[in-house]
Amino acid sequence: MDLSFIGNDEVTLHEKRFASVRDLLPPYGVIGYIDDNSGQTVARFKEYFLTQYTVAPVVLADPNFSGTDSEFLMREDVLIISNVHHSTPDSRIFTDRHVTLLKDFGNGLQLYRSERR
Amino acid sequence: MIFLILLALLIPVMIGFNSISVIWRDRPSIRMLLVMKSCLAVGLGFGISSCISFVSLVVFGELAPGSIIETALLIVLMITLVYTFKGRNDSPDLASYGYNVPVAPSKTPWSLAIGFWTALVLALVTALFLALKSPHGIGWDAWTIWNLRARFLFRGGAHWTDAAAIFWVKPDYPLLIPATIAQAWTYLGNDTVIIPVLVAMLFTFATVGLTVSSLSIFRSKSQGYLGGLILLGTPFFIKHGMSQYADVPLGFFFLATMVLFTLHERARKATPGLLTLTGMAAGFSAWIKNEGLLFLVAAIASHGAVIIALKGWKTYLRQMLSFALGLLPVLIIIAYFKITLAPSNDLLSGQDFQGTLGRLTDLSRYWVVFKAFVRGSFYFGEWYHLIGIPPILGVYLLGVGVKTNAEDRLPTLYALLVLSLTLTGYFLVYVATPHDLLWHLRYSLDRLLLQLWPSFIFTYLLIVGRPDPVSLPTEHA
Repeated sequence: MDLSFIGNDEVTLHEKRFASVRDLLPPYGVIGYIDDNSGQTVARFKEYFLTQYTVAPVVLADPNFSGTDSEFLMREDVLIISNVHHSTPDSRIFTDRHVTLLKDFGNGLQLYRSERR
Repeated sequence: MIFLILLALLIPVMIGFNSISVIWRDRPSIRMLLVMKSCLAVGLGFGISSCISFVSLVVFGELAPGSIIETALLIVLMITLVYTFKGRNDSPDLASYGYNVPVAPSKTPWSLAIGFWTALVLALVTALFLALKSPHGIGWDAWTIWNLRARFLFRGGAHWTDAAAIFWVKPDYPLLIPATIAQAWTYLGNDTVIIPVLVAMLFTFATVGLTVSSLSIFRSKSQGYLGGLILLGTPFFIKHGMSQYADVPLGFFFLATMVLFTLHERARKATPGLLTLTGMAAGFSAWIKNEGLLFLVAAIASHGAVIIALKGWKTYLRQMLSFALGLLPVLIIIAYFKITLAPSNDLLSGQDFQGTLGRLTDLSRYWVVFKAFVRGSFYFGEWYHLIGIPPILGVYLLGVGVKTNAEDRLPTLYALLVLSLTLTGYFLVYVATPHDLLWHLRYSLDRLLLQLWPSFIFTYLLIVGRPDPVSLPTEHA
């Protein structure tokens, strides 16, 4: 019997991918979240929520979705998770904001901290 | 670890069992109706546990005191139970509720029993497979709403209300499921996925157990097995039960309310404790999901209509007092949650006088909802590409006919009224919805019908004739 499906569901895999990021996050509070999914797609929505589920009780603020202050990611001293699917991080992160890379986890995930302009 | 996991869930279930035994105190034996009481204990125990967790979070800002309160409550209940039942004759006695009319030897019950137990084993294997395949739940709502909120309660400490900042998380949804899970995690000290899986599994199979055991008492064993078979033969029920959504647990409380009320009406001597448990079950349905509030209103209205019409005001007021005793503590918790912590529900906040009036006076919306209800009922159950289960039950009804027990007339009327009012409420919510109507119907109607499914089967089998050949003397066509 093939039992290889055990532990390979999308939520578990997502949690494994984000495990090292979670260790560096504060115990609670709000942090930023950006990704390179385009538009208000189901894929973006799903990844945002899988990440939110993983990092809870930290709240993920994504300006693409309602309920989030669009200026939040522009504030100083905000941690930002970048979730990209391409080999190079999204250049918008650097052009739109003043951020410092805290850690590149090497699997499309980076953790940044916003700084004073 | 396995022992600790079982203990974390056994504590609330034991609280439920002991509470039932203490509140329903005038029974000669703790063992009496053991299966039914054990199934009820799952839901009522989790309900009580979630209320304690919520109070603990509000008062202390953490769940740990909830564990201490629960353990203390369990000890107090056990001592009370021992004291209450000390010296009583411990022999299960069904005579004071129903009747034990011998049924002529027949192969029907055996074939039904074999069919039921086979279906149960298959359903358990399927549930296990689904749990292994999707341990965090099947479908988005499991991890975008229910388990996400459980994580906030467990991991968040004093910041447990931060979840309200997330859009889509439905912060107005009550906390029975998340708080039950979070409290069990608190016993364990970690948030293993096994707990939400087991909570889902317990609610699903307790619903089956409650259906079988109650119908076995009120009608016959074969009728009980038939009810269990219909539930287990509904693929959507097992699949959605394991999805870790709140619809099957809500259906459990709908059923528990009807079963407890029927049990009260079938008792030959006054058992106000059963009405207190009925009120508790109805209250928990509103503490699990907002649809439960509608059910609660339907249950109270139906109780009033049936009892006042058939037994008079005096009996109604006396019954309502016992009912309120179980309902009020839960209602206070729901009111506190709704007033202080929950934002307005999306269905209510999207309403304005002109818009709502426009939707309610638009006859085409009634037609759209009606068609969706008929179609949804016809194909209900996820028997893919085949006819649904309700039409088959319709044909079966034509075959065996309507045969109710005289003693079941009142509870049957009550159950039919509750089901009709709740269904009418759901219908009107769709007509008035501020969301896109087709989208709303498409993504929720099957789940609303599933909430009513166990209660429908229970009511249906109270009404239709039995599959075994002998009719009870009190049965009337």
